[in-house]
Amino acid sequence: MLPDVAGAYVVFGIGEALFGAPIDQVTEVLDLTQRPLERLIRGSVLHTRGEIFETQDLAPALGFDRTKLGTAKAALLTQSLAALVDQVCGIRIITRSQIDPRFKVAAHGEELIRIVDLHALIQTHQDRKAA
Amino acid sequence: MKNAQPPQKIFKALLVLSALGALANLRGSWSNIAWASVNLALTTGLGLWFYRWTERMAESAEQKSKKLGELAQSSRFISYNASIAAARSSGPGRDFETLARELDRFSESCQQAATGEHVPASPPPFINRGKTSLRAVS
Repeated sequence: MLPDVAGAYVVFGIGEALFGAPIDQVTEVLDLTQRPLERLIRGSVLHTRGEIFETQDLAPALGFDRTKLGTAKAALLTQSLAALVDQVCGIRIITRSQIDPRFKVAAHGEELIRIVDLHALIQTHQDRKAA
Repeated sequence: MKNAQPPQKIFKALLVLSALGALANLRGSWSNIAWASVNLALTTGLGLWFYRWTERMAESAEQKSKKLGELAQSSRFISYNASIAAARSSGPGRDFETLARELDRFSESCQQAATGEHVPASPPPFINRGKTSLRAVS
């Protein structure tokens, strides 16, 4: 684990697919299954340690149907909101040679991780919703 | 409740043997019948107690395993957050890296203990500060 090396990614899962977000885009990860202080309010607002975050479910943004997946079990906090995911798999150091730039997919051991820009993904999804 | 199966079989076998003994004694005197009844009652009582005891033991093992699983999960998330904090800070942030590694190891050992592979390692010292519930599990 080398968190301060460029190329560290927070790897999260939606359904059975794995995605990696650059570690500097995530301020904290939260386990929504165990911590009683964190509450999802009507699925759209997350309350944690006295702070309120707007939530954005990443499943539809990444082309998944949330109703088939069940409720999100973890959240990635960014500067502006909480991105809901199914699971957080860990922090992985991904080198440039592991990434196929055409598909933005990294082969890390036996895992295939799709690299995503969290900020852009959230922005695009919000724009699409607003339109 | 797999753990309770063999004691259940023993209990049933004892009960059947005892009942057969009581039936065999029915041909004897009243004192024999009384003795057989006492014998049957004692066997039933002891068997029930033994059955409930094994059930309780299995439940407590299940709860302990569940709690260790939760502890492993919590440590894993703290470890991720320590890694994120280390990545976002410079200089003293290196301490988070050590913290993340220690938590990773602890989480791994809890996970193994939850699946019955071995006894968990002692938690990192900072975990015990004011966290009696964690201390109780380890």
